[in-house]
Amino acid sequence: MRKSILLASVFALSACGPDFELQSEIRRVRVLAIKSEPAELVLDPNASQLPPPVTFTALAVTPDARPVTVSYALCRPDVNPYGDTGCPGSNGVELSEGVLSLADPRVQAILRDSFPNTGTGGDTPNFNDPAVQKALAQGIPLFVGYEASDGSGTPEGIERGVRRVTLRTTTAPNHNPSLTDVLWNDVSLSGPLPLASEVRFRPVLADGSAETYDTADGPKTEQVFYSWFATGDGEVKQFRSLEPVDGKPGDPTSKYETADVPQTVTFWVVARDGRGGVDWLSRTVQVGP
Amino acid sequence: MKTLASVLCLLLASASVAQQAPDAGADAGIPAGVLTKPPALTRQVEATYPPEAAAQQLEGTVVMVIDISETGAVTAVEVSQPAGHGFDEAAMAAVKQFEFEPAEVDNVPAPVRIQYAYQFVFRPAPPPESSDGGVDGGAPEAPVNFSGRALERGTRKPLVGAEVVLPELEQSTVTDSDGRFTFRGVPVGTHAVLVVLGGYDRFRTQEAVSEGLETQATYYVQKRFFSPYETVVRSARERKEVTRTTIQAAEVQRIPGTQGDTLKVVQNLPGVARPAFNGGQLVIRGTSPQESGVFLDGLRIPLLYHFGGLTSVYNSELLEAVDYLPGNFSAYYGDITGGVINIRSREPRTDRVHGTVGVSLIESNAVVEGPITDTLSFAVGGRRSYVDLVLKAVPQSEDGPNLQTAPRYHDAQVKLVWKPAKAHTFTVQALTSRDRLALLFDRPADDDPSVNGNLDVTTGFNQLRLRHQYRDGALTLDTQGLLGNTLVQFVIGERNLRIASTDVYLRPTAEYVFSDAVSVAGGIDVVANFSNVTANIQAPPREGEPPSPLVTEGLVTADGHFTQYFPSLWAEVRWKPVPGLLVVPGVRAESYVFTDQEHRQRTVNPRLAVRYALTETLSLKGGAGVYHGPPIQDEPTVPFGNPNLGAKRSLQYGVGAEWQPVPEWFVSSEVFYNDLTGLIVRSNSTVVRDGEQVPERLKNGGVGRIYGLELLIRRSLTDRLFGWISYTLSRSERRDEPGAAWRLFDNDQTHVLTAIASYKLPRGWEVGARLRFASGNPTTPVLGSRRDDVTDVFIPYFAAVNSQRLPSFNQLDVRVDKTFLFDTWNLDVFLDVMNAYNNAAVEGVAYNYNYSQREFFKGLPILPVIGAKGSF
Repeated sequence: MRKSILLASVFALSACGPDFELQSEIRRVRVLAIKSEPAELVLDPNASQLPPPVTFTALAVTPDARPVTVSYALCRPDVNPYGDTGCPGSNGVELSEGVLSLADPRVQAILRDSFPNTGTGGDTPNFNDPAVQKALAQGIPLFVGYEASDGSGTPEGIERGVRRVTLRTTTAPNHNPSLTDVLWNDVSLSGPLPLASEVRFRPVLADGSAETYDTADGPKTEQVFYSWFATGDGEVKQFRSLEPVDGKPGDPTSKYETADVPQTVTFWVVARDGRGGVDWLSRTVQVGP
Repeated sequence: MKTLASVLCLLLASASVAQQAPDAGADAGIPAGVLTKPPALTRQVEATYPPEAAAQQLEGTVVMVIDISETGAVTAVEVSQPAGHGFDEAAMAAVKQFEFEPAEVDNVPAPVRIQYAYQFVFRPAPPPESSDGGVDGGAPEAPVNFSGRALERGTRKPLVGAEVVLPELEQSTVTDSDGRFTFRGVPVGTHAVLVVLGGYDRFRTQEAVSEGLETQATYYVQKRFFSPYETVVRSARERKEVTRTTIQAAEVQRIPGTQGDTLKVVQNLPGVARPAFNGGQLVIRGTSPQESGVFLDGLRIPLLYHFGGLTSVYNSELLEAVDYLPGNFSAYYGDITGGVINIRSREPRTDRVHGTVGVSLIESNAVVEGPITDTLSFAVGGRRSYVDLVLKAVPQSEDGPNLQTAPRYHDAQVKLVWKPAKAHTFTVQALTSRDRLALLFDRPADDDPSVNGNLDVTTGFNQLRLRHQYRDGALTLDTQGLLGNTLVQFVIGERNLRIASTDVYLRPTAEYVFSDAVSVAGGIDVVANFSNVTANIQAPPREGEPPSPLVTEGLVTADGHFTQYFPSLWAEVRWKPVPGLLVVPGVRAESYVFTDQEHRQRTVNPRLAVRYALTETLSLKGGAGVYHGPPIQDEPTVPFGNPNLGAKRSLQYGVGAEWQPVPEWFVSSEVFYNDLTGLIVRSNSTVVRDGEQVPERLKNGGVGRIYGLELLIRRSLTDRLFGWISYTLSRSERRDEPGAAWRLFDNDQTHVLTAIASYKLPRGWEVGARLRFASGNPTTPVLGSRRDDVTDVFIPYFAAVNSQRLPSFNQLDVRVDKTFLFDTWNLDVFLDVMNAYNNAAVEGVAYNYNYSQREFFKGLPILPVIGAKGSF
C-alpha cells in the first residue's frame, strides 16, 4: 500500500496523467450512491425479534436522464463479490425491490454460511452461540451485488457493483448523514453560473450527521467525505472533498470549472460517513445567460 | 658518446590486468583482490643504447607488460608498444634483469602484471676524461644547489622514477620514491629543465640558479590521460564462486545513466533485470529483490536506497569495488535464494589528507580522509539532498497535497583504520542514513478516499561496525561485529506502520592454508533483529498479485515485540587435486527463530563449485547447491503472516566457461537452472493456534523454476577504455498452488542486453554511453470492474496473472566528463544525459476510474543531469 500511496503522491504532485474519462463526468449509466435505510443491519442484543428489513435505494443517473433499472442480490459468502461472478445472478439471492429481510429463508441460508467455524448448524444462526455473538459484536459484512441498466445492452448502458452492509449487535447503530444544501458564494446554489469560470461549492450537513462512535482506541467522530458529479461540458476540478474533524485536516468545498458555452448542468454531491451511511443532493442549474 | 637509458614510469596509471599462471582458481582476469602494496623496483639495470639509434640521435619509448612473481622476480616481459630501432630488444634485455620488492594483494605477496615504459633519451657522449683521471676526478663533491619535487598535476601524487634533465648541462637525475630530486654544482645562470615520465606529458621549464643559494622547485606534471583514481594493479584473488563479477570504483563513477551510484551499476550486469522507473530494484536471476542480499564488507545493509530507489545509501567515494554473484555463491553467504552484491569499502588513503566535494542537482556530498598517525587513518563522508529546497521554491498545486516536509535525505560514514602491526588491522566504521517526507492530504484520494490527512514517511538506520583482521602466514582471521538500529515509519491518516528494530550481527571467519592444494575456511554468521512494531494497515500485496485498490481489505493491527534470529555456521574446502582444477565443496547450516514460532526451523545447505583451466586462456566452471531463504520482515509474524512458515528452497545449478584471450578482454558465459520449492504464498485456510481457529494467512505452497543463459564480454579498465556487453536470456515462472497453471514471475524479462563503453580523450575529456534493451515486464490484464459503493471506488478483476507483456524497452544514456587540472586539485564536471533519444519506457498500464480505458504509463523523457566534483 505504501507504494501505491507514494505513487499517488507523485502523480498528485506532478499533476499529470492520461486524458481519461473522469469519475466526476456522467457519460454513461452510473450509480453514484446506494443508500441503505437503516444504515446498517443491527441486532439488538436485548431484543427477541429479528431486526426490521433494510431497503436499498440507488442514485442511478445517465447523461440524458433516461430511466435506469437497478436490481439487487445478496451474494453468497463463498464467492468474490468483486469478481466476474453472478451476483445478481446464480451466486446471489435476489432482493426484490431492494429489500433485505432476515426473515427471508433464502437470506438466512446465506447468513448461516456467513458465520464460518461457529458451528451453528441448522437453517437459522443460533444467536445465543458465543462464537456467533463474538462475530456479531465485531460485525459481519454482507455483500449486496447490484446491476444498473438502461436496457440498451451496451457497455455504457450497464454498471455492476457491490454495496456492503454490516450486520452486528450494538446499542448505538449508525445513521445516514443528512445533506441539507449546496452553497455557492454562501447562498444556496441556484444559478445561473458564469461561463468559463471557476466556481466553488460548499456542502451543508445537518447537525448530528457526523456521529461519534466507540472504537478500541476510544471515541471517534465520523469524518464525512463528499464525491462531486456533473453533467455537461464543464469539469469538476476537485472530485473528492472532506470535512475536517477532531483536528484532522479537511476541506469540504469543491472547485468546478464551467463550460464556455451556455447549457443546463445537473450537479450531484454524495456524502459518506465511512461506516456505510450515505446521503446525496442534486441541483440543476443554468450555466451562462 | 654516453648513452643514457632512463627508467621511467613504474606502474602506469592503467588498470593492469591480473595475471597468474593458469589456474582454475584464478580470477580469470576480473580484478578482485585489493592491492595493499605495489611492487617496488629494487634493482635497476640500464639498457644499452642501440648504436644505430645513437648514431641517428633517435629517442624512443618502449612500453612493456611485465609479470612480477610473488618473490619479486621478473618472470615475463612482453612489448606492448614497440619503438623499433633496436630499442625494444635493449629494453627487454634490461628489464629482464630488474628485481622488485614483491607486490602485496590483501596483504599477501602476490604475482602481478604491470605496464612499464622504458624511455630512451639521447645524450651526446661526455667529454674525454682528463689526464688526471676523470672529469671531476679528485675534486670535492659540489654542494646541492638545485632540488625539487615532481608531482602529478591535479592529485599531487609523487612521481617515482621520473627523469629530471638539464639538457644544456648534460645532467640528469631520477626522482626517488617521494618524487624528490637533487642536483649538485649547477652553474649559476638560467637553465632549461625537462621532466620526463612515461604516461605523462613532457614538462619543460627554466630555473635560475644563483650564487650561494639553493634553488628549490615543485613541478606538477600532467598525466596524458588523467584518472583521479589510484593506479590499479590487481592480482588474482582466489575465486571460489562459479560466477563473480567485480566492478572497480573507477568504473562505478563513470557509467552513464547511473550518476555514479554504487548499486545501480550492478543493474547492468548479466542476470539482473531492468528496474522500472530507473529505480533501485535488484531483480537477480528472476528472483524478488528481497530474495537477494546486499552486503557492505560482508554484513547486510538494512535499507539500500534513499526513497526506495533514488540513490543508494553508501557513498561511492568510499567504495573499493562491488562484487556481484548472481547465483551458486559459496557457503560464506546464506539466508537468501537470489544473488549477492557485496560492496567493499576501501581503506582511507594514508599519504596525506585528501578531500572530495561533489555537487549535483539533487544532492551534495563530501569526503575527507587521511592519516592521523603512522598506523591510524580516517575517512569521513557525508551527503545531503536538497530536493526539499527546490520543491519549496516551486509553487504548490492547489489541487494536490500540501508539502509539509519536502523529501530530504542524508547519510554519513566514518571509518577509522588502525594497523598497530603488520598482521593486525582494526577497523571501526559508523554509518547513518535517514529519509523524511511529509505531505498533507486535505482531500481524499480519488482512488482511495481513506487516503487523507497527514502522510509521514521516515526511514533510516544507524550502524556501528567493528572489525579485526589478522593475517599471518597460513592463517587468516576476520572478525566482524555490528550493533545498529533501523527505523521504518509510515503514517497516512488513520493508517500507520512503525518498525523500530535493534540489529546485532556477529561474523567471525577463519581461513587456513594447509598447502598449495588445500585450504579450509569457515565461520559463524549470526543476525538478530529485535523489533517493536505498531501497525494499523492493510497487508501489502505479494509477488504475483496485480495492483488493486485496497479499500475493501481489512486493516491489520499489531502492537508488540518481535524477535527474528538467524544463526548460521558454514565451512568450505578449497582443494586443487590436480593442476588447473579447483574443487570447492562447502556446507552451511542455518537456523531461524521467530516470536510465536512453535518449533525452531533448521536447514542444511550443501554446495559445490568446480573450476577447471582447460588452457591458459580457457576455463570451465560449474556449480550446484542448496539455498534456503527464511521468511522475513512481516512474513513470520502472527498479525501479517505465519510464524511457523518454513524456508523457501532453491536448488541452483550452473555450468559455463570463461575465456581470456588477452589480459584486457574477458568473456564469460553460463547457463543456469534454479528449482524453487516451498515458496511463501497467501493462504485462505485457517489453522489452530493456541487452541483457536485463526487465519493461516501465509503458507509454503508455491513452486518455481528459473533458467537461462548469461553472457559477459568485458574490456577491463585501462588507460583509456573500459566497457562491457552483457546479455541475459531467461525465464522465471511460478506456480502458486498445486494444480494451478504456471505463470510468469512479476519481473520476468526474456532478453536483457546492455552495452557500456567509456573512453578517455586527450585534454581531460571522457565520453561514455550505455545502450540497453530489455523485454517488457509481464502484466495482468484487467477484464472488468465492480464498484464498491461504501468507498465509491471501482475494484478491478483480472485475467490470468502476468498473461500479457509490456512493450520492450530500449534507451541510450550518454555521459561526458571534462576534468580540469590545477596544480594541487582537480575538478570533474559531467553531463549525464539519460534517455538520450527520448524514448520513454513503458513502465505499466494506467486505467481510468472504472477500468474501461487504459493507456501505457511511461517513464521519464530525456533527462540531462549535470554535476561537478572537486578533489584535492
